[in-house]
Amino acid sequence: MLAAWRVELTKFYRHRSTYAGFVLLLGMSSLVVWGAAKDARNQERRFKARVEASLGGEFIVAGKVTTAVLVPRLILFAKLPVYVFVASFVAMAAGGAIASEYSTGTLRTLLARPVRRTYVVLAKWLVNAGHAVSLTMFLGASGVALGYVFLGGGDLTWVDMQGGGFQIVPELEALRNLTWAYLLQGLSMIAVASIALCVSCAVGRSATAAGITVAFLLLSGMVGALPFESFEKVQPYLLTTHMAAFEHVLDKHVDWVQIRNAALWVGGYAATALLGAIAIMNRREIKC
Amino acid sequence: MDAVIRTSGLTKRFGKRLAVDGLDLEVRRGEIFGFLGPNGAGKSTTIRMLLGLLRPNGGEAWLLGARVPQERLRVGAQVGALVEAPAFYDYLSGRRNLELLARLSGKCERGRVDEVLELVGLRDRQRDRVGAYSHGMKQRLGIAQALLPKPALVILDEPASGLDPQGLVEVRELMRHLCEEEGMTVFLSSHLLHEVELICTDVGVVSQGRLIRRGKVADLLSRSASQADVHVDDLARAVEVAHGLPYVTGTEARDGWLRVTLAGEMIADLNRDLVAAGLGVSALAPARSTLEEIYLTLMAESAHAGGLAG
Repeated sequence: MLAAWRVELTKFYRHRSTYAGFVLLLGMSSLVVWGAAKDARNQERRFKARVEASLGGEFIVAGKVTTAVLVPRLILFAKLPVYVFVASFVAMAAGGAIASEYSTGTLRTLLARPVRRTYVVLAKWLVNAGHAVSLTMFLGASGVALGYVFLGGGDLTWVDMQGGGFQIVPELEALRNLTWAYLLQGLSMIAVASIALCVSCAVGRSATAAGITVAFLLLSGMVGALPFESFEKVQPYLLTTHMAAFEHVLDKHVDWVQIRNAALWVGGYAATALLGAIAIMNRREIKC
Repeated sequence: MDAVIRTSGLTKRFGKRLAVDGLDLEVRRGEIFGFLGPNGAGKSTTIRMLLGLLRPNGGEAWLLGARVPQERLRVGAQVGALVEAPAFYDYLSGRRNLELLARLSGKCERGRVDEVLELVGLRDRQRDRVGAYSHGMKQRLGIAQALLPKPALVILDEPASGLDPQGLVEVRELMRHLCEEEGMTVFLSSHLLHEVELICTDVGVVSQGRLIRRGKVADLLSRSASQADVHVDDLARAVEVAHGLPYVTGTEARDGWLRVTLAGEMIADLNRDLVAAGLGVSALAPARSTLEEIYLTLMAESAHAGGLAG
């Protein structure tokens, strides 16, 4: 098992395309930081106006609203960076894990050796799970790092759109909560990687595996968002519903029970997909 | 002699198509066994079943005494294989590919990668990316990876495919070296019948998923119909005389020579009878059938039998 994992690790991190995701996410973080820095004055003006509109009276903004810790929060709440970009990179990498090796023939070279198929799948899963978490954490970490360079430190402040007024979370607490939020989104991405790996074990092309995984996520997100009675019945069981719950780690008062349940659901999705991948792989005939 | 490969009634279907049809095969220790057959005869499917890549629909197979696929892992480290076209990670060097595969090859001695690179003549190009290798070089690397675990049995699917004449000679010598010096049993499938004739000690011929002939190469060649090439002063008369001889089963005139097919070792009788008929025989040489001719005859017979059965 250890040998299979080391082999997979070497193959994965010696492939140039592995780093393409990191480069693109760095570009995305840079774009958010650049936008925040450029628009800092307007942000403060809009913040003041919204707070005054919601609470009444007149407020003076003494500190900074646009700080380093705001960047990863903006990225997370923009949804696209994690749910589309990171998820797509993860789906492409894990989707190719078995399918691309099947189509190029390297899978038969591997499996003609005295190695258990279960170990091959587990090794690939470990590598892709690590990749999923590192991509997610990298997105947040690069946002914070660039934020400290170009925006400077400070507390996390935002307008509370639901409760009214505004929230101020001390910088250290905000960093801790953001770390939790990104770690939990990393768990979501492990679930995405597991699904992609499972599909990858069943199909012959990596693009097909990645496409099916992304389509599954989009479909799940769509069913989760539409207010139809029949959809509402399945919404509590959808992966995307529980992925979205992780955003509440950034609330002023965190409902940790809800977060734990969401984590269990997402973990359940990941475990089920991994077991599915092992079962499919052990039954698969290597014709290519 | 103990069998390193044994199959009994091995069967594989792909949908309605019967790829391997009750194959009974035995390969013994120390043989260089050539597995012959036309495209789609079931050679690669058989090899894949032996290696656990495909599951048989019926029958049983054993590798080095272990039942496959159930007990394949037990003897996996003693089996090296190249299945169809060699496939590697193009973005890694040849050496790195071998190092990775060595980790999955059970007990692989330190320095074995260097040994196999030397054996297949890739030492100078070991640091190059496999993507930059020619087909022949990939083929050599494919043979190298099969030899990594110092296996007792090497299974090679078309090992000579894509090799230049020099490469063919080297592979031929390598096969002999593996068998004679390293004590390995070699099981190879090939379309290059001349190579098989030169390399292999034994052959098995499959057609439509069934084994239609199995034996030692030397026996097959000696048992084939005896033929003689005759040069005479009157070719037309010689054809006429030959047709009248009871032990002549066929004649073919070409390039001023007459090829006579005999029912047994009757070359001396042929010479005597031609001379007795007043013909001047200036040359007479026994003509041995090649493996290719035997193979083509077998295929024709198999197609005819298949046609009759159909």
